Amino acid sequence: MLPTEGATAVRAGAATEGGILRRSAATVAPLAVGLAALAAGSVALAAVSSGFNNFVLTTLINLTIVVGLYVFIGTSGVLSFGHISFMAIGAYTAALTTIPTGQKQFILPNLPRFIAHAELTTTESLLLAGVAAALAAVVVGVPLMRLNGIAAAIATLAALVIVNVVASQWASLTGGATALVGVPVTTTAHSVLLWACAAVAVAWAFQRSRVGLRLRASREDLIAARGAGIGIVGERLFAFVLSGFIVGVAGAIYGHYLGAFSPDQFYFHLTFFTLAMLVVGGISSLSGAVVGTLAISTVQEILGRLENGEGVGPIHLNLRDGVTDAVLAIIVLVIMIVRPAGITGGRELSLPRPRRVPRVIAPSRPAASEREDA
Amino acid sequence: MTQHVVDALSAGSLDALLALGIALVFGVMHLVNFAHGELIMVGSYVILSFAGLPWPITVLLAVFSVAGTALLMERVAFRPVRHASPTTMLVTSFAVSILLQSLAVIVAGRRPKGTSFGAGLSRPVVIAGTRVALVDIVSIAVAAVLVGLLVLFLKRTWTGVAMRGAAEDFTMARLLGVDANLVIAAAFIMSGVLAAAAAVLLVAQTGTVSPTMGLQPVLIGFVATVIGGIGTLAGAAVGGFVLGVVTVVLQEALPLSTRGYRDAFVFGFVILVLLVRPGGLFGSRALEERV
Repeated sequence: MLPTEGATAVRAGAATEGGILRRSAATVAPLAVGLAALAAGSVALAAVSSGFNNFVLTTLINLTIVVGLYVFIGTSGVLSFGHISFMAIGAYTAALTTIPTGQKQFILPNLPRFIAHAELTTTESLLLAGVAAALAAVVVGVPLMRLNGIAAAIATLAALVIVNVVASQWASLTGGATALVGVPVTTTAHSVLLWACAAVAVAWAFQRSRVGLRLRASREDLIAARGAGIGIVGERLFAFVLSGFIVGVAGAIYGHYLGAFSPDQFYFHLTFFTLAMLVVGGISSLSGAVVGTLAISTVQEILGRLENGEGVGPIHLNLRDGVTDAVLAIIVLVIMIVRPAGITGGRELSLPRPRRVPRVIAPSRPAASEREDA
Repeated sequence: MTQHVVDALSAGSLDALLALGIALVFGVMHLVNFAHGELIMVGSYVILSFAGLPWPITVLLAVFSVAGTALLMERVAFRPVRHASPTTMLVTSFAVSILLQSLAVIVAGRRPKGTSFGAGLSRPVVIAGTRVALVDIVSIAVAAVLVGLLVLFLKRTWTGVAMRGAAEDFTMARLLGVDANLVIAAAFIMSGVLAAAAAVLLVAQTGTVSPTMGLQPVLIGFVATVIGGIGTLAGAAVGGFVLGVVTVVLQEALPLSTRGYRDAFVFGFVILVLLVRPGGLFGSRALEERV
């Protein structure tokens, strides 16, 4: 968390009355360059081999999820353990509306008629998944957005458990705790790339929007922000629903990538690793979300291959089951201890400039300087 | 009826042990320790490995190894992030939890393992004309003894008083000469002892051990702590019993078709409590924002 960010956010908010449309080319440039690099890298890597294509796919899906998490957690500073349940809702919505009708009658004979006869295209199902997740976010968010800190973390955790229990028990709708099969595998590297870029662009626009700036100010100092007339609950709800939409779409993409999945795939394991990506990169900047996702996904891929005995280049180790998770957990621990604000330290990456900017070193306790700024 | 009362008391006792273990650490450090479940898991694997020895030795080994693990995780992982943001601390404890789980997978494999430890406890005894499982009586007794010892420790020993002071106002306690490291280490050791006790009871009840077995107990512990009031020990103990009673009542009251949803109702109850009283039913002042 960078102390000056909130104050800058407030000042920027005052200076840019025109909203997000009146951006000078200079502020859009890092986003455009970043997205172009991401796109070029993904397309090039995906073309190398089917293994690399898979790696690009999973990384881009992770990126969409983590950017979705960032829209709420990063901008508001409120930790949510519940977002992966929006993925579950998205994945099941997409699956139930795209599995061919004949097959659906066979797998889930007791579906309500309007679901049993639905057969959407992939794009339609992704959008519907986003809408379903966003609606769920409204239902969860309206009561929960008042909560802060640990109460918010535990309440969203409870939401994660509830969705998991319901998805595992409501067998006539979801197929229960066993895997739902027959989901059309339609996710391609290029389609995910589009969605991931869209998610990054939306998150970027959101954090610079009026609501986003207000929310970031409340993240830096809740009481000062309240004092400045920010309602907070409304802003948080907006971010929660927007991030629910993005994560829901990501869930649908993931479902169309897997082809078969069960409720437990959207539970604590995925929650931990997506949160780890966000926190390792730097929870309070969009660049952090992207950097963290790329870093952790790459390590995960390398270790996963070694664990499966596939080998990475000339290296062949037969790692035991569990080593990947252990190493990743150690990496997260080390980052938390050495750099609690993440790799980017909560700053946005910017293009190199000719003028030398004095480096601000984030103090270990931001509270004092933060108060001065606000 | 006696059967239901014993069920509720037994479930409540175990839940109270879980909640107290989490609340002890939370009180002095404001850390929500996800890895508490993995302490139980470690204890269970120790029991599994030494189930052949006479049971008091097995239990002692479990207690020492779990307390040691708790102390180690405090020293290695949590001490460096003591002053970091709540998010950093939560993610750190999440990481410790995943690390211990995957170490268990590496050492013992992913599959659950069975043990006959405590099998003798599953035989029924007759109390007031009703047959109840001996393990339920043992659970209630163990919880009662441990809670009694904990109360004595907190009220009568210097370290215990220092811990209560630190839970109320850490800075003030330090100004009065309380050693922060000592108090936090003591909290972790005691939460480890409680986790070991929970492990013994869980293994005796279920007879199985697996790397992910810590998840359900830690969730129960969170829920109980939150219901009772995050940051108060008495609240955590009461919250544990409330949760035990709620669980047993739901188990009996729900129609068979919706019984599978029991945990959804329990966690819905948690959200409700948090909304009405964000500090829990018996919430402490220590967590309220101060301006």
